[in-house]
Amino acid sequence: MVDVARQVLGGEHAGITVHRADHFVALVSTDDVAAHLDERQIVIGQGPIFSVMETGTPTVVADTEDALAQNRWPAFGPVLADAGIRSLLSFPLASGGAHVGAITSYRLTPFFPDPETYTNGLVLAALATEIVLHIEAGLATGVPDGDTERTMSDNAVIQQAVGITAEQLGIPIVDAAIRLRAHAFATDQPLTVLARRVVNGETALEP
Amino acid sequence: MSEHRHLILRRDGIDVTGVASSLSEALDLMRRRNDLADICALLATRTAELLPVEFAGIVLADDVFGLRLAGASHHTDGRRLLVESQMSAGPVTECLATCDVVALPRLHTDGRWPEFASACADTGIHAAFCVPISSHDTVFGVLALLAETSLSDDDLSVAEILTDVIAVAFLQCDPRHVASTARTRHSELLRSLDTIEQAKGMLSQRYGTSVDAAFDGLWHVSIDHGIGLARLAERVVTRTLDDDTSTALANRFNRRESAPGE
Repeated sequence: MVDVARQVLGGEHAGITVHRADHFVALVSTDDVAAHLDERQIVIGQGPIFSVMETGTPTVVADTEDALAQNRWPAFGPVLADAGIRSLLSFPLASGGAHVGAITSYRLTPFFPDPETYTNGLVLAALATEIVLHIEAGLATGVPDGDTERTMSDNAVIQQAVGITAEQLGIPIVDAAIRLRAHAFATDQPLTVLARRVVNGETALEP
Repeated sequence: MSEHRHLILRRDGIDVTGVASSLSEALDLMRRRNDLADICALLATRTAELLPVEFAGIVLADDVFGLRLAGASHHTDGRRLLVESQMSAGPVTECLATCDVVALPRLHTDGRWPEFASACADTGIHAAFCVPISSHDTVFGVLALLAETSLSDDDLSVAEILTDVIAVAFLQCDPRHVASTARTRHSELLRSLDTIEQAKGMLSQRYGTSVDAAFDGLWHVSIDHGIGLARLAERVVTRTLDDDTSTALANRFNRRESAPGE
């Protein structure tokens, strides 16, 4: 996925971070440079992965040497400079109100994304979100085959089931999204089937 | 359809005030917060009030993100399932493929989609119309109308005016970037819709009601308190409602809140 991000977004380095409970974790990266940049943000508590979490929208820094960009992250800015990074794109990984994490592309030259690149980033983030949710649910193989074809009512029911589960268990919405997927896998049923049973009141996840 | 749609507003039988009021509301929403989920919900509701239809649904389509029912005139009505059920093959997909109005004034005699026609007849629906939502040769949605009887050409002209408003709300961009902007807007809309569905689930569980009734409560509190639908849903989902809004929601479901922010 990060290699695809590097190709689609055009940067030299890319990484995915996930938000677990109250902290970030660097999940995967294309190389040591991306891993270092993601991990330093987590340690410092500043950077694009925090921006996309706070705003729910993509973060674009077209030129790190721009005055506004330099003031944006006083502590993380020097880290970018040391790595020779001149621009970055970071897209939120989110399923509705469930903030899963971020996918970030780092580039060695200034770059303002054209509309097509920006749009491709959104598509990439949507795909990565579902994969990361399944990975977080302990499904190392990614999205199960039975869940790849969903109608729009299936999507709506899944999100309703996530909300119901979050309320039933008193847990954050992102945890409910993960728990639902893990339960579907553990009980050997498609997520869509489980979701409908939850919405219909036929089943409920246990604490 | 008439090429001069604005002229139909001069004809007898057209609710000019209603059309103007709906356009004014939509433009106001666009100006103030440009929340596409709000605009779709509003326009679907107003369409069903302006036209002799039993159900109006706004379906937005994208090659990557697929089809999504972005706005519906009725949320506790099973007829929305009729629109959703024939997404893979039916008048909606035909409309998207042809970028032309698909008119089914007498469903039982049309013959193209017999299962859809039968399902409609079971709920008293005998006519269906799909009007494309498009701009600059890009089709990105359909206004789906279900009715007991056929619609007139004037009714369909009003529907086309409303689809123009939806198109403007959806894009609002440089014409050179229609396709990519449409996809970006679609992505934003999907995120909003997913959040709204999550909020529906939470509220239905909290107050022991159906998910459709939960949406009804969200919608009314959104209108009454001037909070965007998606923004309100986000606050429900993240449990960050202020006391006033929390109380308003609870009152909609005839219960009292004791914990702030819940």
